[in-house]
Amino acid sequence: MSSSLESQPSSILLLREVLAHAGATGPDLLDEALEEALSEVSVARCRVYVLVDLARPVDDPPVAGALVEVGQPARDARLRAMVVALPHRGQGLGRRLLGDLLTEMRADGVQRVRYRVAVTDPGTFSLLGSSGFVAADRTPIAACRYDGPAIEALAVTWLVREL
Amino acid sequence: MLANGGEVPDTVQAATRLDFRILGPVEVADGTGAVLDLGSRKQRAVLTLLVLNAPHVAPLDQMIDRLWADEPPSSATGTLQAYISQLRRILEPLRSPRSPARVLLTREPGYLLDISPDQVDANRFSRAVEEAQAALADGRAGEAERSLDAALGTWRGEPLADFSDRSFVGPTVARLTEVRLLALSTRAEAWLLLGRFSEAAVEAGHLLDLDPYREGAWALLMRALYRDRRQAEALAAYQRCRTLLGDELGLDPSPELRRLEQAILDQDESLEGSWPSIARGEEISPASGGPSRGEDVVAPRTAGEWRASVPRGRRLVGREPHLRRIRERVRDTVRGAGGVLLVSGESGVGKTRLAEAAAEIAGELGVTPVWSRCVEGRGAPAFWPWIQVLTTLEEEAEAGAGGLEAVTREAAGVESVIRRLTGADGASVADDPDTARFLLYDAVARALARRAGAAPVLILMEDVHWADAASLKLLTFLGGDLHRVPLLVLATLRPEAAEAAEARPTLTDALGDLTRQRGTERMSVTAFTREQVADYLDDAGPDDLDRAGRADTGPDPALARALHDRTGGNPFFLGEVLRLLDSVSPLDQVAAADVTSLSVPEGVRDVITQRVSRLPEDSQTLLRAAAVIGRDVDADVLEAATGIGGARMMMLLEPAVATGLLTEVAGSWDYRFSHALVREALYTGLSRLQRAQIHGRVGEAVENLHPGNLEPRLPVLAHHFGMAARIGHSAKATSYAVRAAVQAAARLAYDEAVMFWEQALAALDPQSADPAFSRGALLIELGRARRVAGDVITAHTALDEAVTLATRKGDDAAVIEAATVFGGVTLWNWRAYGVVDTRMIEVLEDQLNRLPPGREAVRAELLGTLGVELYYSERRWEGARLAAEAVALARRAGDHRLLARTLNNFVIASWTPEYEEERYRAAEEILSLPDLPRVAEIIARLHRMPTFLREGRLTDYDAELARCLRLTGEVRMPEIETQVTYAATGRAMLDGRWEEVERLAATGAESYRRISLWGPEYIHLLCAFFSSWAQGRHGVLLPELLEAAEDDSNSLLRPAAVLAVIEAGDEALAHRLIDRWGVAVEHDWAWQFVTWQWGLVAARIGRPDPYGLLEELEPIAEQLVTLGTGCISWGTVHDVVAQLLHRIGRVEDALTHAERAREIHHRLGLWHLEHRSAALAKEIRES
Repeated sequence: MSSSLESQPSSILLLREVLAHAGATGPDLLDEALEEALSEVSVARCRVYVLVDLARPVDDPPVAGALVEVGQPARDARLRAMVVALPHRGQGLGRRLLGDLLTEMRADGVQRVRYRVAVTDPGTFSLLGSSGFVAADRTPIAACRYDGPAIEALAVTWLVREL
Repeated sequence: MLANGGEVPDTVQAATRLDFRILGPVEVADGTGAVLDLGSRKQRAVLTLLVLNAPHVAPLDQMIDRLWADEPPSSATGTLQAYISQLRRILEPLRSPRSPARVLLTREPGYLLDISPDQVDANRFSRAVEEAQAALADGRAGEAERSLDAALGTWRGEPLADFSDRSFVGPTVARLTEVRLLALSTRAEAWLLLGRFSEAAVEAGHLLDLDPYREGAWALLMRALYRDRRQAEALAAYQRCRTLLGDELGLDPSPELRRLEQAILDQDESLEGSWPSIARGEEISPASGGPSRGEDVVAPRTAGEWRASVPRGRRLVGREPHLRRIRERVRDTVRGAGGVLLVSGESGVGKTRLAEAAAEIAGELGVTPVWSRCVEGRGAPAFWPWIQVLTTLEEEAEAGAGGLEAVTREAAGVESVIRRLTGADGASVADDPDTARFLLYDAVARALARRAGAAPVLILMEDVHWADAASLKLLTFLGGDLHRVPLLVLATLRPEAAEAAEARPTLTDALGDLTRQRGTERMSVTAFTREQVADYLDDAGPDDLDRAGRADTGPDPALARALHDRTGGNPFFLGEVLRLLDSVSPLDQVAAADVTSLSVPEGVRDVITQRVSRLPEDSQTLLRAAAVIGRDVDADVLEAATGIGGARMMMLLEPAVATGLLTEVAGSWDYRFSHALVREALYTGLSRLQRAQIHGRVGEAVENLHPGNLEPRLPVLAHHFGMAARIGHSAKATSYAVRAAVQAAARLAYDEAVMFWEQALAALDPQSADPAFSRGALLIELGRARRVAGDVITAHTALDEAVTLATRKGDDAAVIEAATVFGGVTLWNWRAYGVVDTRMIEVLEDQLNRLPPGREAVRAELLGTLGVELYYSERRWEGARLAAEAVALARRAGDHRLLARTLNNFVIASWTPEYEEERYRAAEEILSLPDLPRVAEIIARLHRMPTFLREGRLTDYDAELARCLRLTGEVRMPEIETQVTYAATGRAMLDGRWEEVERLAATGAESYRRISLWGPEYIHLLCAFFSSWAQGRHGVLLPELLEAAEDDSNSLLRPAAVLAVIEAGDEALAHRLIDRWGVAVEHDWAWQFVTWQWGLVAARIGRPDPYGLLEELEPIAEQLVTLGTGCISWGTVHDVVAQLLHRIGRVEDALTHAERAREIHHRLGLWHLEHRSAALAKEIRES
């Protein structure tokens, strides 16, 4: 299944916002992150986005998803989690999802996106690092030598990007 | 976004109250004066570009180029769009997401800030300066001073201060700085007039601090000092200026300044008044006035606008002859003579542009243009283009002025016609479909004629190659009368699509029919020549070419050549390549090398694909989904099918609108692909699976959007689910196709019905357990529908398969149903000449044997069908008897329909010379039945006519023929048309109207070909042979005849072939042929004709046996010769009898017969035959 995307002539992936509730993104994709978010902020501030492939049956789970917490004021937002479903990893979908998300947030008037580095998610960390996010204390990511995800992630707790 | 905003809601006032300020850091204030938060710096940069371009469109590509030069276009376009959306929200905070934007609009090729020049502070400033100068010139110095004070007070710092590092603001900043200096010096001039000399001198000093090389400021300073009674300082100032200019620039002061110095030395009185200002000489004229300020303020207009003008050049290059002809035709239409103009050309060649020009011409000449479009694929309901036309006319009638009563009445008429076309009036049409169809067409024709009678109309029907068969038939129906109605139809079509439509013979037929009609004209639109490409470039962008210094020479010929080579002169392709080139580098710098080095695009599809790839990825996805919906994109369907919100969908599609791939449909939320090729390129870029999935989603979206009202959407649903049948939508696909087929048949769109039955079969899941949609049941319906549409052979294929399936399952009812479809009322035996379907005979007999007693109606149907099936077998007599038995059963049952059917079976089953009398009576009886459908009536008449002809009752024959011709016009079934045409052919032959014979025979053969019955080409050949023979032209068709007659199934042609050989002088060959072929004559429908021909042969070479032939022919000597339904008719048999008698030496008898023949021919007025008989008599007498 995972190779099907590559063999297709044109991509028909689409970002969609879905209701923020458990299971919204299909099995397990974001449930943990959502649970955590809902324990901290109201559901009204949680936005769940999924990347769906129109070439798949309607009932298929999305290929990737993200959870965004809109801040107060609304010009700040926090990217809480970004996950590409296991069968679809390694195809650049994370980058695609991030690009879509940033566009969405921009259109919503968000001017600054934050991300709290999770030791358990080195993939997102390196993706954001190469996509214009910088450590909150303005240390460029490149300056932190990448010696191992755990070590580096400990060095930086928040990444931000101005839109 | 809505092009036609009607009322003026609050938002507009809000927009006019917005104030855009660039005299300082960029800011926007709303109606209350509050400064808005414009968001991030990039976002403000976007707004700035829009302000600088207003009131013109800021091209999308240019904005990307200025703000995101180092990003890939796809993501940059997405980012830009996000800012645009956000800016819209800031500028119009009260607008709901689904109401049209009024301030920041999407306009190809980009975005437009739709504000008045007065809403920009820089423009107000420039205008104030201008007005102050005028006031000053009038001597109103106080007024000038006050207004300049106010204007200068609006400056909040360096103009566009926050973007001073951006090169795109450079020209604007420079310009505004100039205008400000002008304002300052004008105010100083005012002070001079007001006597405030020292203030003026100080201001002049300030100005010189800003720019010491300004001679105007020096002059101002000198005059101020002089008036302030500081002559020495004034002269010293002159010296300072001279030194400065001389030392640093090596220049002398200007003559003006020197004259001023002299005037001061002379204490000239003129210095008291206002001195002809030097400043005015270097005036940075804002003179052309405020409104155009915006474009002057910005950097030079770029290729983007050049490009914007590409698709709508002022004139249509290379189409002058077409336009001239269209104008003539529109004029004729005004005078009451309309018609049909078929405009054909490959896709992208500019047919629509031509149609648009035609609409303009029509408008000028007072003709109402009405547009309608045919839809690709099978998604549109039957009659769709006509429904559009009538709906538009009805809306106009409702909105229109004029006698209210008349308008209402007319509207009511049109409305009822629309209801009938859409099948919405539920009128039962089952009784006689053909009559119903005629009445429907007639109603449409009359409604249109009535409307056009009130004011001439031009119908612009686009893409008729995609029209449904029913619409095409209606067009041909109308076409026949249009030369007397002020209604012109301009229909565009792609010939390549027409050629590819082999599977859709209706198109070819319709075009053929139309072309033959008076008032129809074909017009082809061809690709540009190289010179025309040059003209196109010349037309498209004179301004920019000017700038590129090519004004005198016109566009670079090498560029034109390269573009022509690349695009083959296809205007659409040309436009697309120019857009692509332009999005990469400004067009005015494009040279031939750029065109030739243009990467990938090998064809227009590649160019489109490249343009699409510059859009954000989600926009691409949406466009691809839209392409599956079709050329016209229903926004609700797209939204539902992709599952995203309306606001986001619009945001994602905007870049496609801005770049001209998509257009917004005025007055709705829907979209339309700007060109069919755009949709095609996107659609073909999808894999099969992708298409299937999206089709499925679209189908479900349509279903969900219109619960309980699916009837009008059955074709669309059948189409989408059909395309998704293999991925789990098979059941729906079949069910919708079935419903669409039933609906099409109810609307008298028989070809569509066939298509939908075929579609239902194609979509059928072989595993399906639902008996309602079994393959067998669908095949029977398909067979029936094809039979009604006149496609006999393929109807058989379907029914044969149905019989096989039903037999295998032991389903007798289905077997009977399938087997008896062909026993319906028909003119002709449905088997090829001499063909016996033994399997079908077995099936029918088997069913008859097993049929339980009491089901006499079914028995009658089976017997009648079997009777016809036996016709070409050795059991012909039995067949006739069985058919007679069927008639008896039907008569006993008292069922008119069954009786008409079985009588017709009998007429065909007993088509032998022995049964002539009975057949004639059967036909009479059919005609006496009540509620006889038109088709059955024509058929019965056609069966009676050969008897009239044989008996020489030509008056009766002619009356009958006239009636059949009239009825045929109403029925329009090819099968019937053919036979009536044949009857007319034979009649023309009797009269010796040879040209008419040739024309009719060709027409007959042509329409016969469509219905796939036996032998149109052979009948045509025979007609041509006898026609030449009668005119004494021999040998012309010999090779064709010999070749055709060689085939056993064409034994009918053999005597004619032998006759032709004899006429060619090769008697030996004639004998050999007779040896090989034999001379047996079947007692079938062709008996008289075949025997007559052998008689002619025998009279010449003594074979076949003349005595035998005389025995056959003498008893029928009084008859005229005719074949079948009269495609060939000749004179009396006396002629050939005379020849045979002469041959065997009975000269006296021969002469008697020849004289009798002459008499008969004379009495009937058949001059060429009379002449022949007279010659024969003379020959016999002289022998």
